[in-house]
Amino acid sequence: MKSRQSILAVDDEVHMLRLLERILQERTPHEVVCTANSLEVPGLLEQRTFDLVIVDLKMPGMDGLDILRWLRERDRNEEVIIITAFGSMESTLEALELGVFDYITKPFKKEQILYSVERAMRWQRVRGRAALLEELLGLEPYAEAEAAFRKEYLRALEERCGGDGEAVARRSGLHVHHEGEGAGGRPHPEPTEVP
Amino acid sequence: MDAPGSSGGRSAGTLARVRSWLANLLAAEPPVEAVPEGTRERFRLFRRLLDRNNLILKRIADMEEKARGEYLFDRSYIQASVDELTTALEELAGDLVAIGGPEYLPLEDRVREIAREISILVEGRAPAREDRLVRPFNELNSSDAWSVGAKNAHLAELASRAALPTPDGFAVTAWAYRLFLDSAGLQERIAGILDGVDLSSFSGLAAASEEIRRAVLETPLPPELEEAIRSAVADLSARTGARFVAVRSSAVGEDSALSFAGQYRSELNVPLKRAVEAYRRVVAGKFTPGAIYYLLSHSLAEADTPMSVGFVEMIDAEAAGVVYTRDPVDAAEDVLVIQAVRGLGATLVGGRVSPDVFRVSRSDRSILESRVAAKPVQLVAQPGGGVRETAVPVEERGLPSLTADRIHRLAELALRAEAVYGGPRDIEWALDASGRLVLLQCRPLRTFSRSGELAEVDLAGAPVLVSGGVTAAPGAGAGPVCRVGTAADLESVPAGAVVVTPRPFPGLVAVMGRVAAIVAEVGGSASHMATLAREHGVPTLVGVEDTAPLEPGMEVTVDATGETIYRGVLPGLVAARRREFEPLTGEPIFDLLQSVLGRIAPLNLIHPSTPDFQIASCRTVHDVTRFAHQRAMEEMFRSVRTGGSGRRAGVRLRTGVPLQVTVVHLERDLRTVAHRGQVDLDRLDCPPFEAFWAGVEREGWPRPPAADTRGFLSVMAAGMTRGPGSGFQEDSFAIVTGDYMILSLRMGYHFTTVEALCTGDPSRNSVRMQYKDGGASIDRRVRRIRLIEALLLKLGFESASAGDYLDTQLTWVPRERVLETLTTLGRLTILTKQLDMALANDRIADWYERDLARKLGLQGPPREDRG
Repeated sequence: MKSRQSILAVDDEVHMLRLLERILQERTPHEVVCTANSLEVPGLLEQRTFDLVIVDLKMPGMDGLDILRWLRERDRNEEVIIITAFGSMESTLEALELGVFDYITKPFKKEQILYSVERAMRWQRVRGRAALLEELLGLEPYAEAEAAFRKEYLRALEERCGGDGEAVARRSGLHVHHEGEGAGGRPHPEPTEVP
Repeated sequence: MDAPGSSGGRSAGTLARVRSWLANLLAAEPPVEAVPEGTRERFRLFRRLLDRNNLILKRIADMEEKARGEYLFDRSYIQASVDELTTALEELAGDLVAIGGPEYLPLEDRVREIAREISILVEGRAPAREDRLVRPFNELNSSDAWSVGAKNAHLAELASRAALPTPDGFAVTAWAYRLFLDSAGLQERIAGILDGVDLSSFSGLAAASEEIRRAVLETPLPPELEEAIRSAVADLSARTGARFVAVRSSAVGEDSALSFAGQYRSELNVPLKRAVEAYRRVVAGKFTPGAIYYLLSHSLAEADTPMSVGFVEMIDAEAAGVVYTRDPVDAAEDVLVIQAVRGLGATLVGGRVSPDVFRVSRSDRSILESRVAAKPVQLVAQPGGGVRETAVPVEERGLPSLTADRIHRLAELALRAEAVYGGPRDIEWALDASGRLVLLQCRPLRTFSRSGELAEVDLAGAPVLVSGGVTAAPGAGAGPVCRVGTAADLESVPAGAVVVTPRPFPGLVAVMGRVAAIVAEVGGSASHMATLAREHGVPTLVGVEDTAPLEPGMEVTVDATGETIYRGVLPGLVAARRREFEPLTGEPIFDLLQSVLGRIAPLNLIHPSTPDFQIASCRTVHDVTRFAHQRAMEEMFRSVRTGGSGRRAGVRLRTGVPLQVTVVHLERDLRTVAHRGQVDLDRLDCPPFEAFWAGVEREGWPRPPAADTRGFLSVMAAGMTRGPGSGFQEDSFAIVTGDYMILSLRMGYHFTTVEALCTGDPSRNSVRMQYKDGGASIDRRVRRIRLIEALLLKLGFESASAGDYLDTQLTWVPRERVLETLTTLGRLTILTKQLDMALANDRIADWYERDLARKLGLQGPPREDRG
């Protein structure tokens, strides 16, 4: 199963937050966590990671830039989209310097935020992929790297085949057997028999 | 004004009148004064009024756009828009007073009144209304939410409207809460504490919360309130035999209801003699750190979020819980969900105990699923008051908290409660020791439809009939083609049809509730019809030039979003579009914007010659702008006509058509370029006027189209009864500057006002044309108005018409387009002159429309300006 990507949305304006929550839940497949209290955000972020954090620029307590700074200071991977009613040049520049992913001015069309969210999510997937490859390439010795690659390859193929083990075996050209049938066992690769 | 002619030989009278009309037409004196005194200053104010008028109309359009459900916005957007509108509106009224004099002062009062109504809506707080301190539930219904809060009002409503079993009780009103806070300086103490709060730290909020609670608990209730509570408790006990009560907060005002719902405190199993203390504790419980944070971050004063407190007989529950009348995450499913715990329900609502879950079929009440949870503890009422968590005997922990029979009864009650409101509800319930089921609270349930990812629709191979056009309302709809030309065809439109019309006309709204889609050959996405279509959620595609392939009766699918029409019915496409374009409406913030718009956008004043066109009839912002603009225009003309010296002002235009037009140029003295009291068009130095008049002269002075006899007689008769004062004796008048014109044109019985601002900035530019008072009978006049309206729609105008009056406006256009449009209007003015004499029926009117459209080069939809 492909794991769901996740979004944390923070806005002190409960109405806006509610709309954001609804649009993200109805129109994206991502998990959405919302809070109207920016002071809760560090606690939430310490508990778990997200792919994307959407924050309002102006909030009492921690504002959007505070949250962005908090993330950057800790080298976190969350991308940040800032929503603001007043696009002041100064805060825009600061946000850009801190590496904000996007900057959206209220009111905005729902397509606008959806488009921005999708771009951020795609970017996070690509980044995750790149990190994985980097990790595989860093493995030693080669046999371990090969095994790890094969595992990952089969996982990806299985996803494409919708969990159909037989199709995985057929399409991969590898001999695949299931361990512990019925327990949702993953296909495990075996070296192809050489006659 | 002269009275209509006395009795006598009709034909002789007619002749005399025609002769006198001709004499008047030719004998007017040449004007002498260039610009009457005070006119320039008045005009400066008038221009400012126009700018404000345009600003207001743009802001209204912007708010209407946001209200359609395609945008995300917040409260501050509504607040900022309303602030901008009301400021501009106050200035607009002030300008009109400065232009027209003190007789317009009442408009300023009207504006203040409207602004106040709007601000009450925006801020969600009604001004304090005097009320009783205590009100028993059996006298309440849902319209009392302003007094006792939604929670109390809805509970009372369940009993009064549907005779559902609810606990008896009474509410201590919001008015009583105010009285309490106003007494003994409590309000000031709270304000003082709130002033010093540091929002950025939780500990600061918690300290403030603690301090305020202490202040509330220390403050004695005003004696009359204390007495009212004691006596209401005694009455309740006498009625029901109750020895204990539950005391619960009930927030007043949408805002507070929304944000504080879960945070307010309840007191369970309170002995009667401790009711007053419980009241104070519940009031103190309002000031949680979260609530304080909300108050301060939204700049609300404490007094803006009053609360009511409900006292109900305590139900000593064997079991309790919640019913959702729909599955909140899949509202489409035919189930209701019951959650139940042993003992009092507080453990469930507080999330401390896992409940039993029963899923019940809504249609046949059968139990689809029972998930019985282990219940190690339960909350029970103590004999002396208060509640305590106790262990459940081991052998009972795994037993279901409700029997099948009670599940059925509960489902029945819940569905009856739902029927009272018509939407899914979230209901708290309790089962008492005698086996009686009681509903404790009933509020709207928010549900989602699980749409998941958007379905990809494979459209390869679907036969495209027509492509192109402009999406006026998104979505897709399928059905048989039904062609509609005029309002007369509307009755025959079957339900589920795809309506195809040459042009959008407001009457189409009559079928919007029952058609699958609308296709129009002309029109833009900003038209009135498009707005209506979006409101009704009817997929609508406009500007479809060639609708010939859409044969009547043919099954088609209109993809308004994709701007394509396919042969045959494509249900997949229709379904996919429906999900994709489900608007965000239905949220409280949208309801708020809608209700605010209700005081802003509707236009009730259209026809300026009706008696209703007056200050007292201005009910909305739009009405005020309409009124102020109309009267300011009239005041400008009056000022020019009756100038300071009482002599006629301006210079007459030399023109090839027999129309007398007096022109007043506010920036230059036209007498210096006049020759024998008349000025040539090319010396006027007003490009918009020159463009308009060039159009007039191009068509010259045509004969009226061949009229049937009845038409001619009807025109003559109308002229007779109206007398000479009503129109054609007076001059046509123009007030111009280098970039502005306003022309009041009287031709025969037709009265046209053309106004244009033509600058280098498209956002300021506009062309406005108003028609009124044709001769002929009302149906002919209406036909003429419709015809002109149809032609102007093709030019991209927005219009409002009422009977034989038309008000139409084109905005946001570049300079060249303003000039071109004015020339077309000039030609149109002449071409339609006295046309109503020929407009004996709709068929002829349609023929003229096509003929004029051809002559004016208006075949297609309005052009888009590209660069």
